[in-house]
Amino acid sequence: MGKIKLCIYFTFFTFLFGYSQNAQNIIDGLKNDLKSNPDAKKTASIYSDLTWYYSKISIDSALHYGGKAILESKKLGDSTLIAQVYSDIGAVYFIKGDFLNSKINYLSAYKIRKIRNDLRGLAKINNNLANIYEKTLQYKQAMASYLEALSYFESIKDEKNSSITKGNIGLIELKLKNYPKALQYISDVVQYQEKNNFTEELCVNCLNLGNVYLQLKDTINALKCYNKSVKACTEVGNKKGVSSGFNNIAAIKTEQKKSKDAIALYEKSKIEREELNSGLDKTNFDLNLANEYVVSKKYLDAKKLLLSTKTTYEQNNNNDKLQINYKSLIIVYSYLNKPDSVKYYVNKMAVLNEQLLVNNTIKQTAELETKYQTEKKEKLLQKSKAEIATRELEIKKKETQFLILGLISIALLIIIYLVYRQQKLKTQQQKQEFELKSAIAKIETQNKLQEQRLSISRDLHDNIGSQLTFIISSVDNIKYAFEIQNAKLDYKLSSISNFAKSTIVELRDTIWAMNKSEITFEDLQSRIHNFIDKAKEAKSEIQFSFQVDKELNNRSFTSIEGMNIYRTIQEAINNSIKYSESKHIDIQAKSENDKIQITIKDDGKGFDKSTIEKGNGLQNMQKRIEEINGKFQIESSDLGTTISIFID
Amino acid sequence: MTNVLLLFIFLFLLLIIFLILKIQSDRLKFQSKVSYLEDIIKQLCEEQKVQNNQLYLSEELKNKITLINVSLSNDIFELNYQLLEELYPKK
Repeated sequence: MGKIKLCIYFTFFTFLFGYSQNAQNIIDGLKNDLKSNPDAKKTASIYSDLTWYYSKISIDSALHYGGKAILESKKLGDSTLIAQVYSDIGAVYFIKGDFLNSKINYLSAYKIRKIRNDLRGLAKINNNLANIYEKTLQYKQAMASYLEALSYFESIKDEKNSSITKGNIGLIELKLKNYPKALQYISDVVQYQEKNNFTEELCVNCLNLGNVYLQLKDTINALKCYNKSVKACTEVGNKKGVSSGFNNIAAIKTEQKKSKDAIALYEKSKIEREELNSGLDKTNFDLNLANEYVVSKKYLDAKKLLLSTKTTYEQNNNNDKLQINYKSLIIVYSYLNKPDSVKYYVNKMAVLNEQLLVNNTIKQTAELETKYQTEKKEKLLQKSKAEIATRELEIKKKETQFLILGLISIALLIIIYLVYRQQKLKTQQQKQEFELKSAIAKIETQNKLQEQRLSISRDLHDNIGSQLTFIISSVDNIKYAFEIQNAKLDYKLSSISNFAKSTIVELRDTIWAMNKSEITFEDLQSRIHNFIDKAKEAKSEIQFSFQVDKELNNRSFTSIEGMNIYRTIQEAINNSIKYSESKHIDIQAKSENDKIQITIKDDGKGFDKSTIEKGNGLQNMQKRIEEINGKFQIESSDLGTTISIFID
Repeated sequence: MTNVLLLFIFLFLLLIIFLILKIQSDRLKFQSKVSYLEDIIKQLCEEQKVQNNQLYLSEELKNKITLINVSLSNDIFELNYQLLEELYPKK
């Protein structure tokens, strides 16, 4: 089992982001495209693609095209392409095992993508940088970078890249010897990639899953996985993958004591690696092959390989590998019967072991120190956490108080606003009230003034009435006391008396209207009746009829309206009596659609409207009716005259 | 502290409600007052209208009386003239 561990050490395989499909076919296609003289951008893009696809089959060619791609993309000044080319070159160096140059190129790409805020590109670079950390045994940093990348891919629901990153995390778990977790991660990823037929990704993850099974001592499943990996890697032309697959299967064959099969597989693996020209991997494979030669007792072949690998490991200070290398050399020199060499390598191994022991002790001490420091820090952390919790509680409390204070402030503002509004409203109301009261006072004053004027006017009318009565009585006394023979004088006295009497009647009519705030139709009707009675007395040969609709009894008029209607009717009757020579005068008042229609009709001789100009009487009638917004109509013929009044 | 602040909020809320109700009731009171005053104004205007009508009629009568006065004066002058003619016939 120790040997298996030794073998699989260098066959862990990390997936780099790039393209799938068979590399050689794509390269041929790209070279054909180049022959057709494409534009500068297309040329740069083709060089970039060639860099990536050559990384799977020839590192040197990949680096050659990488250089061209970087030159072309810099000429174009296309930062996206430059970042992509740096990333591809980083990947090529990674495959070559030159992690320093790989990191430099990845970081160049990272800088450009950071400026461009290309989150997807940054996540991919994070993943690739994590691969370098993983290879240089900086697992903590590697895990942090993988998790950062995974977080981004999961946030945008990029299942493919999430699966790739999870596969790489599984690989770290494998290296940390947390096999159940590694199995869980990688087997999930493999299932997903098998389902979606992601061949290139399957090449890598099947190999890693095989390694996990091997660590769990499940060689059957491990072999199945390696075979799947070799198949997938061959399909996509991933020579490193094919080589690693053969190498790991060879390790199992060695364990199963099938040395011939193992050597054949190692040779196959070596050929693939040599084509790829990956230095570190090549050395590792040589060591594996040398060990297999030792098992097969081909000591000279083993010696040759072991001496070449020794130099590389000594240059790289790869003590773990060097220990295996020395151990194998001691065995080889023992069988070749060279005690001095055996002694030399035994001594070297003792020194190396001591160094490893010291390193191990330092490492353990450092681990203990770290553990102590970690515990100390954890305690501090817990204390800090408790303090933070207390502070958070206080902050929360203060936040609540601030919130309440804020609410109180708002409430205060509302109260101030409401008080201000109330005051404003009060002032406004007071102003309005004052205005109304002022208006009332003004109207009252006006009314009082008018009342006074009316009172004076009434007094005046009363005086005039009594004076007129006095005139009438004086004239009548003169007339009857002195038995006047002069007919002209007698007529004059009678005329004065009659004029004074009619004036009194008119005065009374007006005072009647003045003394009423409103005149009902009934009042008007009785007044007209009185007038008709007097007219009957004066002209007994004329027959009067006066008809009123009962509906009109409820109607009322203002004093002006009542007075004007009364005067118009009076004037119309007087005109008829005076000029028409009629025998019948008919007065009719009726209601039609809420309008009042009053008709004064006689059967007299009538008059010609075109020849007779409207005298004062007719004009007065029309004026009075129009004053109260009514309509005045007059019709006359040989058969009589009809005057119609329409009032709304 | 928090409880005191909460009590304040409660009191302020009560005050706000009280103020809103007071403003509302004041407004209603004022409206009824205004409506009463408006009724008075309407009544006074009606009165004024009646008085205006009466004054109009009075003015009309005054004009008529002026005319009557002229007419009566003429009649009386003529009467006196005739009386004088009767008493002192022309020679």
